[in-house]
Amino acid sequence: MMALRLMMLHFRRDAVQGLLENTRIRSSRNWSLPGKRCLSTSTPKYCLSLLDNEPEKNYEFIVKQMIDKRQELELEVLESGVLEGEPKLDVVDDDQLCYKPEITPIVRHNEPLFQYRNSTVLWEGPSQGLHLTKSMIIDYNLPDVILQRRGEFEMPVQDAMVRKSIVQTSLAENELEHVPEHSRIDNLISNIIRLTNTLNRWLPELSNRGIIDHIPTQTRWFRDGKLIEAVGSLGKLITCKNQLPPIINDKSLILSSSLYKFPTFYPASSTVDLQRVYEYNINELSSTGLHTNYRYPAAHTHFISSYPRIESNVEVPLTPILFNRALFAAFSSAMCRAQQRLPIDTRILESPIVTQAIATDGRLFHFLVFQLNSLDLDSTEDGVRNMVWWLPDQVLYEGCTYGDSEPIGYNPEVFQTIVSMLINGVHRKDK
Amino acid sequence: DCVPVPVCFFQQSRSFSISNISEGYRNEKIKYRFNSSGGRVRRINNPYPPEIPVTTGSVMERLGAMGFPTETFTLEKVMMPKTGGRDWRGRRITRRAGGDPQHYGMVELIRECNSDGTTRDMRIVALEYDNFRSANTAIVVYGDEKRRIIGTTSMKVGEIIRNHCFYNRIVLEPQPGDCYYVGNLAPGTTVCQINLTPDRPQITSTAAGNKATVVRNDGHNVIIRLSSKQDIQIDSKCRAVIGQVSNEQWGNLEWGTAGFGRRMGHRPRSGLFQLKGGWAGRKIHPPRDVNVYHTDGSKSQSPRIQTFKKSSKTKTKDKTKNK
Repeated sequence: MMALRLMMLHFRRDAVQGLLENTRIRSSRNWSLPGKRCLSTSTPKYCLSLLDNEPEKNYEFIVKQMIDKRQELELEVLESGVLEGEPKLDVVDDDQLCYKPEITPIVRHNEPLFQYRNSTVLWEGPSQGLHLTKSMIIDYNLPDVILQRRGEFEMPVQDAMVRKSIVQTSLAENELEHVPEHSRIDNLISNIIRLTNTLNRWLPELSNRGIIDHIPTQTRWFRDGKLIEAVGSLGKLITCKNQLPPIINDKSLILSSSLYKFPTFYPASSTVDLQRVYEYNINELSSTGLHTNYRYPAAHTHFISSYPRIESNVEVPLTPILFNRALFAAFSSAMCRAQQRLPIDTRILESPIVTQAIATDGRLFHFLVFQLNSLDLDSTEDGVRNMVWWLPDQVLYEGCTYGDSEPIGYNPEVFQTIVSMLINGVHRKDK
Repeated sequence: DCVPVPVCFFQQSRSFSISNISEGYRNEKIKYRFNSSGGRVRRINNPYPPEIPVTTGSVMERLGAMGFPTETFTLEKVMMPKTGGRDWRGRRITRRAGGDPQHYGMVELIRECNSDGTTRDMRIVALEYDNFRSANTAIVVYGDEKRRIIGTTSMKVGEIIRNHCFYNRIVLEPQPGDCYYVGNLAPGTTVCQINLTPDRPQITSTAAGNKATVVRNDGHNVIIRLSSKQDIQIDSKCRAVIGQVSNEQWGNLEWGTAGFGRRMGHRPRSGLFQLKGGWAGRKIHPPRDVNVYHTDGSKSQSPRIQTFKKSSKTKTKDKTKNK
């Protein structure tokens, strides 16, 4: 480029650009050079060397001159002895300071991976989610272990505090403002969890729990020869030290569940609505999102909100969407913890894992209890099924307006069931 | 020399900018030329037209230029604003253009069978309105895939549709909504969504309420009469869907206001209360010849089929009488 810059000082720009594009130079009168007032189409002789593809000659000469000058300056500095008095610093590489996670290269496969996210909508409803997790609904009511403990503990001013939290979260300061949906639901859930902290005086083990939000989980399992994955932050999670005790521990009842037959979605398959991914790593194991030395590793309950509400071509009501989100949240937290301890091909677990989930719209509450009985979910006809208890459509309150200081149609049984679910697995020491 | 001109999309729309027009063209003068009739006509200089068609061409080519995925099938819809008859330069090319922006959703126009050669069963999940066409569409599910197809009048949610692919057999009671080869159909069946050659998509008779009838089946060639009373001859391996295209009352709707017509793209005209000449009015002509579509892609014409009728002059022989 140096050669071209020199040429552009003596010649016109058109000629130089013509050389770049290998075109003929235009004939023009060159007024810049004295003595040459004639038309010239040829280049002068002292520039031919530049065009003979040997521009590096002059450049090297110039660069050598620059290097020689630099060496002279360095010798002057060394001879003067300025650098001797300075201390020597330890060389520190940036690689040692920065944290480098292990990056594995992503591989592209011919067969896809079916991914369930918080944004998927299963068009067939709850039957499709049950088919993917190989589970069956045993009862449209919670198990007796939880229902018997309803009303065991009653805090003072319990209902008034819940009504106050409803008014606080659903109504804004002015009638002109509108409370956004995500804050209305999240604040109500956090207020309810905070109210249960008053039970710690009777049950001090409730303090040994962790509340986590936006936890990145990843679980994988095979189903009908296809690899399925549940990814994302599936709601808010409450963790504890020890797992919940199994609800059905009788092996005869667990083995009898293999007689249940799943419905078919012919001509479609159950993985229609899942996202297909072709670039993934098979060696990646399922992760809980927590590090190994976390104090409260076991999963207790999930809190799921209806926000964000996703639109689809098919109008699906809200309760089956919340059912699938609650089911996949409870299933994934149980499955990933079992896969870390046990081999993948275990047909029946000696101690089945139980997880819970509560889904809300802000007004309606849905309760779910999930029991994991096996890790081998590949075949639909053979094998043991997982179990689900599902209690939908529990109304907390019917309405709340600005004129009323309290909500209308408050149902106190809903808060009692929430408390009984959070108490599950914990007992008084006196008893 | 000049730099190639970048492409300009949708000058009238608010989302896209107008700065994509070439600078060199702005400085050029408008040139005129004289027509054969002696009139002066503006000469259109487009030395560097875009490589991708903007106003003309198929929808998928335009979407590919915008970045919309065309290799994979998606149910999402893309807003396609109108150009107002303007080209990439910003100049008007077609008159009487306009209308509301449309939302395009990909439609599967070729109803194929499975790769094994077996019939493909599909289930209807939803029926929806399509702003891009006069007919209504249906969302269909098979295997691990979801597609959108043009719906017929008989379609209902939960129904199963089949795409057949067998040869050398005529079906007397074809199910409405199914797709067959044209060679498998008996004359008299109502048909829609036809393709003129086996390689092309099924585009003919896809408007609302259209239907065609099979007139004759020769085994190798089939003659079909379209809703415009035009006959065509196509190969027996072309595909067709049985039934009538949905939204059959589209032609009977009254637009009511002039604004509805503007939204459809009709600009004002003043032709109602003006005298017409000999070119107006109904004309009675003999029917045109049959258009033959060959598998090579070429097109030819054949004389129309003559139907012989009984006349009083002919005599019938009584075979029952003994000689």
